[in-house]
Amino acid sequence: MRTIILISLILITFAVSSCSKEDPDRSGYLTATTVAADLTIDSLMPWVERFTLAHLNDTPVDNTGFPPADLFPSDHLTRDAAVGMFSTVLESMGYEPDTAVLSDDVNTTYNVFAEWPGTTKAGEVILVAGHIDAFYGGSDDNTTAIAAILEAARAVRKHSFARTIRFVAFDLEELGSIGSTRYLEQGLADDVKAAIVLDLVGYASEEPGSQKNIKGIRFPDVGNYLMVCGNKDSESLTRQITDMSHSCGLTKTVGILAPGDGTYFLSSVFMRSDHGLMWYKGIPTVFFTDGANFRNPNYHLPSDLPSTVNKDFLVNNTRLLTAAIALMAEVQK
Amino acid sequence: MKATTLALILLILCTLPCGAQKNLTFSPLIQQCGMYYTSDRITADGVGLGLGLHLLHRTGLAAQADVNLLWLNGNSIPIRLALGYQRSGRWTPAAYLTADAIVGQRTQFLSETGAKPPVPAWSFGVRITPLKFRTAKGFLSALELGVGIGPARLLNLEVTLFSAGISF
Repeated sequence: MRTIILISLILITFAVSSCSKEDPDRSGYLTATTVAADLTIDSLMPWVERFTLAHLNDTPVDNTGFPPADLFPSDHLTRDAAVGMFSTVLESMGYEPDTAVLSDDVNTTYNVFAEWPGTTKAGEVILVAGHIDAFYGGSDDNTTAIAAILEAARAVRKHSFARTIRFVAFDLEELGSIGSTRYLEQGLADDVKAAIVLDLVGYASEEPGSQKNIKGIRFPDVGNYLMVCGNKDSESLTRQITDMSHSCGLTKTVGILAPGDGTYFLSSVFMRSDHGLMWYKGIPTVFFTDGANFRNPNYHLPSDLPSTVNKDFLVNNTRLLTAAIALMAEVQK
Repeated sequence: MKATTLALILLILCTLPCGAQKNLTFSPLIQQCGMYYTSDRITADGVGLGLGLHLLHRTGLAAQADVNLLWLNGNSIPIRLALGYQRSGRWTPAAYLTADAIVGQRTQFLSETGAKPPVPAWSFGVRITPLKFRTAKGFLSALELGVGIGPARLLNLEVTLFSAGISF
């Protein structure tokens, strides 16, 4: 009996001592949200429409070695026109975009990137990325992310930041994060201090049951929120971004922390995009998503069209993205 | 064939000498454990191994404390306390009231202000051990089933496929 009492006392002591919580650092929230106030929100949906049209009229990439399957229509994957358009738009904003062309025996990837140089910590890069390839029109997957990145890129040019901000459109994510993997393996992300990766950020629903559980992990079942996902390396960033979004009224989020580095079997679902290798490599990276096929019924289907994108949701998510970039890059007053 | 084999095993277990019942029996134990613990804030699940201590009073009152290490969704560590009643004899099924504290890694949903769920996570429930057998040297048990509930719509399902203890 004494043994049981002793174990109980140890447990209670542990419970009490571990309940103390440290609040996120809120000092930069207000300044960061001023950058989000400079968004040109009316441009977001036109970008979604233009990139979708570009995908629909483009020639599919060679899918040799990647046979089509359910939810993987590899014979309808396009990227060339969108890659060119992304680069042209950045140029029109005053950036000097470059393309990392990386090949192997099977295919070539074109990762387009551009930087807004930092001032006092220019060697530390905040990477903001989403994939540019898409099945069919790919309005939500992943043109919403590309549109959000472009508008954030436009907004940050009105401000200066301590850290360098690098915007990247990764290629061939749909074939297994090929573009981002090559980008990292070439050492092109060695200067990255932290990152945000976006994959589908424009689909929301107010219907109960619209958000499905994933591998036994229970999610709020009304799919009207942005998932902000992190791991142990990006825990403080994930908590800050979730808190900032709520306290500054930016967008409705659900912050999620995967166990450890996020690579465990049941939680590896949170690694399903270009941030996967960043998590492996220990780069603090936050992942924004609307839940993909666990919410959006148009996922990887011809029906993934602009009419299915929730404009207000996309606008609010872009506000959060821009504020998060400003927070991480240390916007200067 | 499987039913015959199982019946044979049960028969052997029932005919093993079980020794005299002491006032208080201490049994360090080892077990294989699986758990699915999910709430609105936490999912901690996996399969793994555990170590514990089982106490049995001559009156049939039984208590068990065990610590387990699970894999699949991070390294989750359920610490379980159980208090219940165990039948005497060779076939010794038991039923317990349980309190579980889960520490270690898990998938966590943050609050709106970015706060993490408290550690440990708790659940309270029941466990039955229908296939538990006492021997002269200890006990063997298979297919222990537990269910618990807790805050934030918590559901905790547990299964222990095999457990063995040596009695002192």
